[in-house]
Amino acid sequence: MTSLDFSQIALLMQDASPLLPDPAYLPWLGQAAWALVVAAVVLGALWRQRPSVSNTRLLMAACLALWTFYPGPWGLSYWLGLAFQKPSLMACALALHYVVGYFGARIPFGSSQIHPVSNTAMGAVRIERIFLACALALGWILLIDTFGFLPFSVYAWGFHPVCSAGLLACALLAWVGTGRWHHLASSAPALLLLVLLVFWFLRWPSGNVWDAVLDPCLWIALHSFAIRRFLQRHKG
Amino acid sequence: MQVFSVLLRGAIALGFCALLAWADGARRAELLPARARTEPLPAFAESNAQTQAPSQQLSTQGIGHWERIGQGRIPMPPGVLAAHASALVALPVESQASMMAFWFAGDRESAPNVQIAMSTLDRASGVWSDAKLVVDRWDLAQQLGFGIRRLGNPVAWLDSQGQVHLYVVATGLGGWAAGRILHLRQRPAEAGQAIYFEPIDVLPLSWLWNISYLVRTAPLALTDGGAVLPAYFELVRKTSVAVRINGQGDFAGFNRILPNDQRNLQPALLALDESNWWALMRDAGPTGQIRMAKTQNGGRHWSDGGNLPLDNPNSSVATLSIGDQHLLVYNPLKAGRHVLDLAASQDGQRWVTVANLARGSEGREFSYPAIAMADGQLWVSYTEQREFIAWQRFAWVAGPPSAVAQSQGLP
Repeated sequence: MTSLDFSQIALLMQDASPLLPDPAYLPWLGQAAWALVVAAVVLGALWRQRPSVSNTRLLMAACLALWTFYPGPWGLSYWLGLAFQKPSLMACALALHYVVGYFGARIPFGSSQIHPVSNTAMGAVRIERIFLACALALGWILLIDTFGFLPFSVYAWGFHPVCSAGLLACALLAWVGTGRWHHLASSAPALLLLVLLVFWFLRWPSGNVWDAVLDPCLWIALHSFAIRRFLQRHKG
Repeated sequence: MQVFSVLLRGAIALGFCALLAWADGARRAELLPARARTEPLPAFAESNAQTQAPSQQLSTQGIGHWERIGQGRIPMPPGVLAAHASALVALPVESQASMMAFWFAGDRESAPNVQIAMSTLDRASGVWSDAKLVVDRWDLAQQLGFGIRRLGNPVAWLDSQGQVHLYVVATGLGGWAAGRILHLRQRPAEAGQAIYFEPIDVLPLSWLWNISYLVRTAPLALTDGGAVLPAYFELVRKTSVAVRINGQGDFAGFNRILPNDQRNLQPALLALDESNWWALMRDAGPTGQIRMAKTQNGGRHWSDGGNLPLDNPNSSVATLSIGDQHLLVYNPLKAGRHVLDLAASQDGQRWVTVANLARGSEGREFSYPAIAMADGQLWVSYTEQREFIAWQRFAWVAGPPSAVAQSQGLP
């Protein structure tokens, strides 16, 4: 049995020079990103304990978010960055979506999960399930790739504009297919689309589109979300 | 009505795509004037030193040999107990210093107070300056906005504008396996001002928080002004990677050298000609030899070259090509690092020992070498007992080696 030669496709995808963001903006962008994520996680965790909206909770989340801006080892982003570098644009978009929803005293997700699922359209729900499955699969592929178990580097493909253009096309198709004009910011395809647009202009956080759409922390959170969804459906 | 809606959305989407493609194209043209995406990787320049300082070209053709003309230790920063992993970079002829040496120094390897130390070699006097600590993790953390737990191996490179870039191992949450490669650039300094390196960012090499990528060996200069920076991954599997950096020292992509092998690390690149390169790697397996990978297309694709018939005890090596001669510094032992040799080859296959750089009793350590050319002379630095950075200097002398020259200067 002859082994498949992926070298040509690998070379095609690896020859692009990445466009990286200006390093001058990275520190405060990182702090702002972590502030958003921390605020959303705190609000989400409190909502899970007792579903209610209060100013005290908002104040707590705001204080923790402000803590991320504190410089040096006493600041939260110092340690978050040390361990996890920067959150993905998608994590930031989801966090922003959650926080804005919370401020509007309407929890957009119908539960405490940090995931933009709205059950207004069955087609959209199906697409969002597909998105979730794709995100989980992508994370596994990137993890396997990290340890060099693949004959080519999937992560390196993420620097190529063809890769981000392909993802953008998929997101556009999914958004066009959902048929929801009034829920632009509350569907996974729409959020992915916004994230990819921001990535296209800023190349944040690393110039690699995989880093923009999925980070390991978000991937772990999506596992937890998928398992809970699965259990809820089977209990139902 | 619904069909109209979908068509309208499709038109909006296409319009967006066109706008983005235009914006992306414009920005690419602005940021990357020297590199066309469709062009093959540029051929390498004959050696780091020759590219960086044209006056350092040296003919090693005909009968001749490398003769040791000096040796010593680079001064340590005051109060430093441990030193390891030196890197050398030759400077342009207009510079007052002909070479810079960097290494990590502190109480011990992976100690909290480890910093990157630097010393310069004065071109006129040939004397190494007092060492300075030029990179510390607290200052880096303040500028980057996130913490760095430890500092490790530095690698230095001179870009086409004459600025020195440092690629330094900086760990996150964990030991060396959580290391990342941090890129720093020398900030242009006024006369009399101290040399200062500003952090750029961590090189984006992996999705998993960039962890476990490290550097150790010198970049290979390319004719476009960029370079290939050898790096390696060492969590669970040890694999080497070739990182492309452009003329400004910024990250420009990477590929794996031997993705199917899981015990090679610290690749040292050796250019046999413009497009034929070898990567000589430390083998973490039981073979006790130097692992080798080959590329025939300037690093686009690598293939397994097996092991070189040279003993090496899972230890870092250094390489340099000068004209048609290839040089290798390595520990020629199955176990232990108490002997360090300089070897030369014309074809990369048959290696002849040129000089015994260091020889000690079992248990002593002479390791982690670096090699560079400056002002027509060959410089080798290496770690001595993890306490000092030692150096030796060689000159190319016509004619066969004399008996005196062959036996001189062993520590």
